Amino acid sequence: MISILNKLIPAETNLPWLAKVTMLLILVLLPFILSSYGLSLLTKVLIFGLFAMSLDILVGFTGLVSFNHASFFGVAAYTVGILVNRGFENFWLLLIPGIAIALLLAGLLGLLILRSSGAYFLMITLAFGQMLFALAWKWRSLTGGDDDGLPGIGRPEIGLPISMWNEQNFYFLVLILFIGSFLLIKKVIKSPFGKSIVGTRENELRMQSLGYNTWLIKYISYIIAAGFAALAGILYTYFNGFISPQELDWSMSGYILLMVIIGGAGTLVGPVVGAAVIIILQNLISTYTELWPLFMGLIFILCVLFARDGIVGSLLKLYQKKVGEMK
Amino acid sequence: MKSQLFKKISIVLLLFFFILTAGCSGDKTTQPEQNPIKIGLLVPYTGVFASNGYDITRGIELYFDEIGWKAAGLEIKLLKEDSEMKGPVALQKARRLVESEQIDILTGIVSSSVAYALRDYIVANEVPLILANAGAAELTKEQGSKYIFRVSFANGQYEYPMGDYVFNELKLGKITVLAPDYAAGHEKAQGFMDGFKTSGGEIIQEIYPPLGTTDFGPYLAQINKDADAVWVHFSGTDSISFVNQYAEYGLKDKIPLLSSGDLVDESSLPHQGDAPIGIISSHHYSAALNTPENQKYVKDYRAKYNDDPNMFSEQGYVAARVTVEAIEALEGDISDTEKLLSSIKKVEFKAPRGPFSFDPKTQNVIFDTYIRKTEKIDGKLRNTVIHTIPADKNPWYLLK
Repeated sequence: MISILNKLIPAETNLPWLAKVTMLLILVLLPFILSSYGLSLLTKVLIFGLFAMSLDILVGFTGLVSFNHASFFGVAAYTVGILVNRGFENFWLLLIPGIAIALLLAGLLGLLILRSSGAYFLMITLAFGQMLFALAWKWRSLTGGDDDGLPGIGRPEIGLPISMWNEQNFYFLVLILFIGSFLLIKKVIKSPFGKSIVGTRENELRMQSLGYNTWLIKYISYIIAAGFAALAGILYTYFNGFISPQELDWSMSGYILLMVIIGGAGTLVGPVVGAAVIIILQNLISTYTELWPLFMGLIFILCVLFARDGIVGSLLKLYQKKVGEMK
Repeated sequence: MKSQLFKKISIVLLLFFFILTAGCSGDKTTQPEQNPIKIGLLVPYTGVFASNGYDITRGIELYFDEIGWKAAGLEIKLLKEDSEMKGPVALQKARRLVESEQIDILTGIVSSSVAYALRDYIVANEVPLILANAGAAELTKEQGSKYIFRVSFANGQYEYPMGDYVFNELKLGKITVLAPDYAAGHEKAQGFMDGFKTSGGEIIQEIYPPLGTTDFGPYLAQINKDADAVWVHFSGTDSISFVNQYAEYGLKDKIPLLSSGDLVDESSLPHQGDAPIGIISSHHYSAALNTPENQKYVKDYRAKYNDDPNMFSEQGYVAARVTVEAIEALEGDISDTEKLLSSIKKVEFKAPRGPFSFDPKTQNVIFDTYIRKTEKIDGKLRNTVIHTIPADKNPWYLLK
């Protein structure tokens, strides 16, 4: 799997600006067309899209297949949830401890985890992820444990006279943070640092001989990815109004990894498309049949057979081929 | 050339947009001539407790078959969703059922954690919820709401009176307790221990193996040999492994085994061999009950599914009947949620398990508790009722 992910995928393709505007317009107009259920699905797609994008920094650009990405998502979610239940309200102020704790955790775990690579890296991330899951499950006095979780978190107070209980308002808050994060991640990827990440993925030895500290490069990218996952976790907490240990489980990390792979690792937009496809299909198919995992499995097999680089990755390759022909 | 490419990209984007809207907007366009009654069913169809989800569904469908899928002349539409036993997933599915399908009543819910996850949403959206399994006592106490009803049981409700029976009728004074290490396991064990200690008994040991233990050997070896009996609560696959291993370790003939009804539920019995013979358990149901209601139910169930009913299917059956009786009492006019809630609260009938009603204060179920003994009759294991504790003799109802 790792070798597939490491294959060179076009990281940056300049779509015509009209296409970008169309995309943005669609995202802005959708809430006025969709039913409230559709809107809640779309909000979830954006939150998981952000989450999957943050994992793409690791999987797609740095070449690290991490299996504990849900830890940062969950830890930030719990931090904010616990603080809200203790009476802290301001959303913007709560973002600071939520993200800071995830960054701190990533800083600590990174020191231990990044000593290994390849399959061992995957195993050790899985181990640490499950340890944190067990902590959330067992520490009943703080997290509410397995049964109750942390309920009653409600919606964020953003310090404006706008109620976030209105699904449309909440959607726009998520959309703004999503677009902001997207641009920020893109900026990081395009920066010299971003190039050095990709360089490390492609040929670590060569990067080292060129004088780069590749360990530090991976370490920083691990921490950055954790920060954006934390933001997604915080938004998800407010979206659901509660948290359970499930958010920290390895199955959550796997779910996100699936989105990245289906959408196309290393494309940034791909994971968002992957999130949309998986969330919408899952909710759509399960309304028709109890055997929905069967159909999801079939779709994944088709993706592996016919779209090895993920949906967006394959489309981009096709597009570049066309552009090449035209020139 | 470039404009052609842009066209293609726009088409792809638009297609994506259409797929998205098609999937989400629900069926706004179709307007049936007469509004059917929509009942949402949220149970796990995947994961460890999937079989409970299917059993509840079977019970519900059996009752709707019986009445021809009509209540007060209105067609009943059952909308099934997979909760996957995960709070966030269940919440997403509930959103679809409530906002897109506009269900009138939500039922099902196997796990208490899912019930907790749904609670705030259900209350905020004023949807009556009829719990068909989830047993956390809090759900009909401090976390209770006028929108939440429960037809199954609260943890402790049938375990607590067992304590008195064990001490005063079976004359057993020293007990070792085993239960899985998760919220419901602890709550059920606590229910039994409280009842037992209040009657004068002594708990000499408590052991909590993890949920989903496959090898109980280390835990069985710990059991204190001075115990007069062992009381356990295990359900699902745990119950099968535990009962079999308890016999294999030779403990079956040395220390009598007492349990919650879940251990020897009809869904587990076919996989336990002869090991469960002699176990005494307390429960709100037994497929071997000798009432005309239950005999008819068991006969119909066997005819439809070629299988024996169990506690879960009976709970589903009762949940379905509660919704129908409430709707019929209102002659099909369920537009006023307040009226619907008070109509549900008043529902009373003779269920397969015996007399059924809601506690008007907590909206939890009131039932008789059965003490059963597992026996082999005509080559088949069954839970014969050896004693009945009527609801008004069960001290659990008086607890705060």
